[in-house]
Amino acid sequence: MTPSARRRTSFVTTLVSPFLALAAGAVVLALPLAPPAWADATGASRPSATMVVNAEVMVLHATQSPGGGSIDPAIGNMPQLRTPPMSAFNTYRLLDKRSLALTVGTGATYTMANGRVLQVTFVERTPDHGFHVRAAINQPGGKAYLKLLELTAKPNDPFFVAGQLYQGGTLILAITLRP
Amino acid sequence: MSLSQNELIYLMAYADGQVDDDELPEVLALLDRSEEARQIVAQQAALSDWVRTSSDARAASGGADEIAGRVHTAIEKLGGGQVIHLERERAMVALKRQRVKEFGALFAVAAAAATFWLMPQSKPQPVAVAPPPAHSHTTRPSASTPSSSAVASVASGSQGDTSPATASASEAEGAGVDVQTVESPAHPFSIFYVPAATGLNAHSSSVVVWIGE
Repeated sequence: MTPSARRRTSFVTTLVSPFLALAAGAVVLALPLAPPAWADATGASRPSATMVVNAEVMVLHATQSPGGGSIDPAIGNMPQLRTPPMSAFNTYRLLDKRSLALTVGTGATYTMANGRVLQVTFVERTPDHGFHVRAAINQPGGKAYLKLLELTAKPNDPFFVAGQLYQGGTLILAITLRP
Repeated sequence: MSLSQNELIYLMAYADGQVDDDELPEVLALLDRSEEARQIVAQQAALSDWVRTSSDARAASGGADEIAGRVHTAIEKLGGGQVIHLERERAMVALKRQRVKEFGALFAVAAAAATFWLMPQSKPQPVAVAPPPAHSHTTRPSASTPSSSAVASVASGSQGDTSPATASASEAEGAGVDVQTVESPAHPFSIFYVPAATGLNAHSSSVVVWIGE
């Protein structure tokens, strides 16, 4: 290599190297920001064996009673029962309370009093520290009552699945995800 | 003439001062031992001197030495000009081309990586159903029809839908619960977005998915 060619190479290397480093750094930093497409069609990331969330399932029996009605003290503090649409009922009784331990990518089932089976699957942890879950309610020998409910919920914020008729009232599932 | 053609070439090169260092001892040895070689070198040197002198004289008479000055004068009259170092300019052009190539390659790599990471796999997605006006659809028995003044919005799917319905939770931005998909082909359903409340019955925003039998 001639001296002038060597000077040119050195000149080019000196100016280009920082740009190369910056661009390569940007690529490396950008990759972890998004979930890989190959993980899951819904954007779920690869399962982490250590991630566990507890799905607390409360099975409530809602009825409309003469008078003021009552809320079972075993239910605890659940103000949503006093607001629409659940305020349509004035009496709530706790039938069962279960805690389903879920790991990322796996589901757990719970058989309700009416024979239907609730299945809850923990899909992933969301970037805002919530939980991405799927739920389904199947019934033996019949079409799915709830084929799919997919949602994200923040820790300790309950969501409700209601409407199943049961013993003159309605079943209401209050599901709360707790880390 | 006893000198070879090769020796003559070396001698002429020596007269012109173009003999390399490694060849010089051989030429000097030849000059040492050959009178003919010395004469040739002397003639060649004289000839070279005459050519040089003659050329200089012609250049001077033709004003060749003033060409550069005249060009500079003309440039000054036009407002001056910038001195460009061709070697440096070529290096800069080469550098720019190299940068374009390298950034192009990097951009392509980044785009490919982003596509790989960000683009979701194609999958049949449920048909999106825009939430209808609030409280437009209830499926519960009349006894349980809620007083819905506190319900933020309702999305619904009707029984017999062949395609699963998806309720957008756009109204529930920032909510504690955000519903993305509800599929209940055999049962009508409604989704109630319950806003957060403060005061005595304080609670975070929530969602009630009501599925009819």
